Amino acid sequence: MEWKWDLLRLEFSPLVLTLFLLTFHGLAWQPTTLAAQYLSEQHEAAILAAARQNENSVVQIELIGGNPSFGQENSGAGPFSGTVIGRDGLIVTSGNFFAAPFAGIVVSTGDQGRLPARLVARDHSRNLALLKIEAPPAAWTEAKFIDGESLQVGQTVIALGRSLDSHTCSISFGILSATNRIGGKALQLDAKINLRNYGGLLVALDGRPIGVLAPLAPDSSSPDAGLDWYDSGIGFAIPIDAVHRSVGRLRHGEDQHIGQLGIMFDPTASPFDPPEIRSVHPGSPAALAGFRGGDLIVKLNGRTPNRISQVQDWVAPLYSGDAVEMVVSRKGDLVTALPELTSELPPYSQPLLGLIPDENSNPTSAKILMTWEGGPGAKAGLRGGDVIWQIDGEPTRNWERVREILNAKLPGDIITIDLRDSSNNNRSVQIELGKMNAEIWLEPSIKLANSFVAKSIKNAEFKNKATLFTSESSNLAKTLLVWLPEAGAPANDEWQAKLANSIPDTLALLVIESTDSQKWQTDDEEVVMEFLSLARRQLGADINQVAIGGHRSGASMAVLIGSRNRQFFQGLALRECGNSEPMDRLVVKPGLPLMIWLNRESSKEVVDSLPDLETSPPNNGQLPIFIDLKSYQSDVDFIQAIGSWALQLNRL
Amino acid sequence: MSLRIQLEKEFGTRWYLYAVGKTILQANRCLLGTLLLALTFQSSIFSQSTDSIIAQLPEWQSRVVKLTGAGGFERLESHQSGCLISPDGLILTVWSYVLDGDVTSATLYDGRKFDARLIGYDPESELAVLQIEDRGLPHFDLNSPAIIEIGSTVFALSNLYGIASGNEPVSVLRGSVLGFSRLNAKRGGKQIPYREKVMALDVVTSNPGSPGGAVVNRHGLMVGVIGKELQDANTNAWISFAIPSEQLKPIVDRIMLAKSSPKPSVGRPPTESLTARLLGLELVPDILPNTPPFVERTRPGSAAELAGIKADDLIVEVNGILVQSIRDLIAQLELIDRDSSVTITVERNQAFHQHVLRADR
Repeated sequence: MEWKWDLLRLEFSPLVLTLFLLTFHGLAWQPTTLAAQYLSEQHEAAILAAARQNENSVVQIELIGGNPSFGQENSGAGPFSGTVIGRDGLIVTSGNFFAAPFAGIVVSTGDQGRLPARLVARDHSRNLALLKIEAPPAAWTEAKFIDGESLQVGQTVIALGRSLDSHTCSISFGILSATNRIGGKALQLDAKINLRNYGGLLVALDGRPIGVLAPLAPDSSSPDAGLDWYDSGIGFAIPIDAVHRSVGRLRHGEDQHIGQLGIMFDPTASPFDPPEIRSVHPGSPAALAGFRGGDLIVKLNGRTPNRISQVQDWVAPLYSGDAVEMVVSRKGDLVTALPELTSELPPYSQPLLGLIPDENSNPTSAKILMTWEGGPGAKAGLRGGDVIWQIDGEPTRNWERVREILNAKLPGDIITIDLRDSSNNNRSVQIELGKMNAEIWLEPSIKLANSFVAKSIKNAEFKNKATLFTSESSNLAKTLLVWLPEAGAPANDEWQAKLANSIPDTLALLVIESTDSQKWQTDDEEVVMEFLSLARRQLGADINQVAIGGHRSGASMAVLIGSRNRQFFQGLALRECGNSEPMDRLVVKPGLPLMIWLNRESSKEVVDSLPDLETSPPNNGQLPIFIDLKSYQSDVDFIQAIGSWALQLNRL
Repeated sequence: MSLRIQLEKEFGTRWYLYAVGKTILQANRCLLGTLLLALTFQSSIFSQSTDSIIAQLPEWQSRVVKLTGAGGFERLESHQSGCLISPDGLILTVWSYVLDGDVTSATLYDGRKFDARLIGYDPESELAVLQIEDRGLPHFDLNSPAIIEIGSTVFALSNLYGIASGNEPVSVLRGSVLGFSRLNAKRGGKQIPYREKVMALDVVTSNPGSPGGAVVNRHGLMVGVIGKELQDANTNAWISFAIPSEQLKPIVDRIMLAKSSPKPSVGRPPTESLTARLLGLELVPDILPNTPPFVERTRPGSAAELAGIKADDLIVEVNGILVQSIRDLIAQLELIDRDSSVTITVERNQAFHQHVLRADR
């Protein structure tokens, strides 16, 4: 954020611009230019005239019983500002003020007294709200859209509000910083925009209304988006013509939402790449219209996009309910459809085949490692060792392709899979996809087994010993488990012998000893995080998830570190977790997807102390909560169990 | 900084422009837009200039002093600004911990540094007067306060962020008058007692070092003194404001005469106040911080019922004053004598209805 502001400030500050200009004109000879542009009484008089011309379009609004507060700033119950947009008593203001419940709306302008108003509807795409007053005073004038010179960056703009005092308008002025911001929906300006003038009117120096002020932020449609940019020199206004179009929709009483199409582009693609759809959200307007991954968009509402950013810019201003005429090129054929945008995409529910892929033996084939008894795949006759070479006629040369195809499906969809079994016989099966769940396939007897290598990880700053165990054929590890043994327990070479041939090679294990041989200390957190980052560097980019766990005091430490560094850990694995020292400071908030393996009642207390654990299962079963109360004889047994769990994280 | 170097190169050595873009994310603020221009120039360049503002700015700057005192750790800055208000060294500034140390020093435009003695302060406006021992100093005249309109250009002269030191003049920020409004502010959750009409500024002055500086109009007349760093009591937003000149003289006089400020005359509660119950109004339970004043029911035979107030009416005004919550309503009724009649405005079916009623004896 900060660098952005810096840039803006330097680019758009009127004084800097002027001074630059003056440099080239020869400052010493024309000092009046500086004054003429920004300090002149004529400029000031023009601003005042433009403000006066529009003051009857700006009203004050207060809420009764309302107290929308979000984040640090708080809209309060007003007063804030509004803009008269229609002669019939229509007033438009900033939508964020109505995010929380309220009982009444009161509108006033100096001499006209207070009038009751009601909320007609909100525009969630442009953060506007439309209010209606039954008997508007005759003195009010509507903020009209007047066609004129196109807006230019650098021109003076005047922001009017009426929150300081209902008898006079507040005046803030600056220049236009940009047009077409926030997906082409907003003007950006450097005048001071804040809770005092949100909802007020933006006018040009010639007195033309040009926009309605509203807080906005890119990539966010939450009610507090942009509020923390108040007085920052970054302010936004919805252009007045767009406000009128919005009012035209809102006046029927229906909220307007951002329109969702449901197409995804390659996240690694540049905005300048051709707009080839990577995938289509299942059940979305794009999916219902028949579009799919691989389609290249050649036409959108009559225009030809040649890069991804154009498609994004053209769709962003549209509302839910708008239809988009879209033509795609698919293997040389042109396909046309008219998807109607929706306000919300259907929640994505991951389909389930019920198998674990063998991602290691041959990277150029989708070979099944094992299937889950009772799963859709096993029921349809899929077995470990089978190779999936085609789904619905699409060749599948690797598991990545299988995943891509499945990601566009929903539970309940029926797919046709062409298989080659271990004796090279081909067959074709139909499978109705199940729904991914959080269930663990208990004790799959997986024998995998590459021998493990132990690498010592060192950091000169810390004296702790840390060892990273990975499969010999490295780069296969998808899950990293950070294991904190009981304080004082050595991470010695015995581990290697025990672990060899006992855990799947998709698991990497980082064992870190405590600094103090008597106990884990809170200072060890830094050590653990440092070793984790060193280990991640060695393992490369293939790690999909990191879990942290431990035994006894190490388990307590794991809870502490895991809860403080949620962004780094997707799971927690505890063996005989006791209430030793760091536990006193245990604060675990809901929201962290936890995988919890427990084997003693003492550990169950920890789970009970985690609020909402039972009531908020993680999404799509990717990180199940699993409570196993069995005893494990040793860390190795336990880690082996975690290994088979970790393997299941890659299930399909 | 590259900008500065570039400009210095282009302007030659006679011109210095310091564009200090300092982004402060202190607490909840993003105070930028604070393009700070400290123009240090030799007035000879402008000797023939028609532009009186630019020619006179150095003189206006010379009337503002840089104050340093206690603080200087964590987020407590040890500097603020002050306005010279007499030729013999009286300085008007804001009362703060900066003045609360053993020594407060005032540095003039020419680099001379004085120990400033605290004459006194006004607890309500939180303004203070200091004195330095010198004569013939440049100063602002509080005896003829300047009146200024909304939208007019102003210059804020202050040592924001303590950037200026020694003989460097204080920083000049251009802005305008946003409007006037009764101050309703807080600091650290504590309500500020000063509730007079202050000048809201369209220039960010709620920055460390700014308070106590001068706001001048295009003729260099002082139109206000920059207020302390405060947050709006309703919205938590940091506000930029100045205490207008016409309020300054009486405050300074009080401080000089060591008189305590008189309490405002409004708001003294009557001996026995009105309550909703006395009027026969039963309201919905007050469970939210801002519970809307909905009428649950009116007591049969009460003044409220006879006046025509009905269940589910939303009370909007008491004697013309907006009440946004039950708490507001109770506070307003407390100011009214039990025997006075009261006008209550309610909203019913999208319309306001006024009812005049008087509590039963």
